[in-house]
Amino acid sequence: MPRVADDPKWTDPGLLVMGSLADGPKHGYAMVQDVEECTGVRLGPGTLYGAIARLEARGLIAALDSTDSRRRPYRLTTRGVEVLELQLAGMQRFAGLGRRRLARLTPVFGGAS
Amino acid sequence: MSVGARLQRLLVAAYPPSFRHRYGGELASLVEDSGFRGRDSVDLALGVGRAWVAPVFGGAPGEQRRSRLQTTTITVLAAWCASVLAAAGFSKSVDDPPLPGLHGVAATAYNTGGVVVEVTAGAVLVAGFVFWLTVMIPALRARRRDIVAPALAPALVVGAWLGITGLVALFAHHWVPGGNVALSWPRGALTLAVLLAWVALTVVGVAGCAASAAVALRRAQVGVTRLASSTVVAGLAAVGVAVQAVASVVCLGGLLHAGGGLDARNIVFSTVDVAVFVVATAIAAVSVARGLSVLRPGPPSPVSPTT
Repeated sequence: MPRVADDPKWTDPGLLVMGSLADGPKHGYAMVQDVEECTGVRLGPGTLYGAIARLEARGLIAALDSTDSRRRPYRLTTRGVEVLELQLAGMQRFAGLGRRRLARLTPVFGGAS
Repeated sequence: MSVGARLQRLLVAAYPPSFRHRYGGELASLVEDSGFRGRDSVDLALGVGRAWVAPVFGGAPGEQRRSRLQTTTITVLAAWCASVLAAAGFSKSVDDPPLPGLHGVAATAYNTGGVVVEVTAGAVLVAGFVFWLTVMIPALRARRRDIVAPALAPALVVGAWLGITGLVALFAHHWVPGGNVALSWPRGALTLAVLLAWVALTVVGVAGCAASAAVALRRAQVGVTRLASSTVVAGLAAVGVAVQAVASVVCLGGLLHAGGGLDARNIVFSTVDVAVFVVATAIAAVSVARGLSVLRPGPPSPVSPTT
C-alpha cells in the first residue's frame, strides 16, 4: 500500500542520520545516499545539516579530523550509540507489539488485503 | 552556472554566520554533489528559516554557551537599532508637526515612550562604549586589523551621518520656505528627493553600524564573563523596546480613537513603525530568554536544540 503525506512517520532526520552512522563514519553526501538506499527517504541538504548540527550540539555525533573541510566525515559518539540503541530497542518493542495486536485484529476485518 | 545553482548558493549564504562558519563549506559541497533539484531549494530555504529562528551551536559546552550569549548580544543590538529607527519614524508621524489629537492618554503614552527611548539609548551607549573599549584595547595591542576596522566603522558612519545631516539642514534652511522641512514636506521634488535620500542613508547607516559591530564582536571571540554582562544590558534594552512597543500601540490607538488628525500617510507610517516595535520586541525577548537560560547556575550542559 503506498504511503501518503499525512501517514504517521518514523523518519526523524536525526534518527536516520544516526542509523546511517551506525554503519561507520560518513560525510554528508554519503549519508544522503545511504539513507535513501536503506529507507527510500531522501534527506534534503537543509534538513540533513539541521539534523547534524542538533546531533553534534547534543554530543551524539562528532566530526572526524579531515584534510578536506568540505567533506568532513562524522561518527557516532559513545553517548550517540547508547541513545540509538535505546531508540531502536523502543521501536523494536513497539513494532513487535503493533504486529501482535494487528494479528489479533486481522480476523475481525476478514484478513489483510 | 544555472539559475537554480545560483539560487542554492544564495540560500547557503543566507544561513546565520555561526552556522555558515561551521557547516557552510560542507553544505555547499553537498549541494554541488547533489546537482540542482527544486525540492532541495525549498528544503534549504526552510533550513535557513529554522537556523535563524532556533539556532544550534556546536562545539564544547563552554563554546556553545559563549556562542549563545554572543548571538543574544548581536540580535538584541539589531532589534534595538531597528526600534530606534522606528521611534524616530513614529515621532515624525505624530509629533512633527504635533497632531491635534496628541493629548490625554495618547500624549502620556507618547511621552513615556520618548523617555524610555532616551533612557535606554543612554544606558546602551554607555555600556556599549565600555564594552567597545574592552574589545578595542586588546585588538589594538594585538594589531588585529580585522577587529579594529569593523569596530571603528560605527564611529566613522556616525561622523559621516552628522556631516550629511548638517548639509541637509543647511539645504532646508536655504531652500525650504520658512526653513521648516517638516511643514513643507513633500512640497517640491528636490526637497522630497533630498529627504528620502537622507532617510535611506540613516537606515543604511544604522544597519551598517549594527552589522560592523556584530562582525567585530564575532571576530574578537569575547569570553563568557563579558558576554554575560552584555546579555544583562541586552535584557534591559529588550525591556526598553517592549515598553516602546506598548507605548506606541497605546498612543496610536488613542489617536485613532480620538480621530486626532491622522491622515492616511500618518496612519501608514505610524502603523509600520508600531509593527517594527512589536517584531523587534518579540525577537529581543526570545533571544534574551535564550541567553539568560544559559546563564543559570549549574553544571554546563549542551544547548538543547529547542532552546
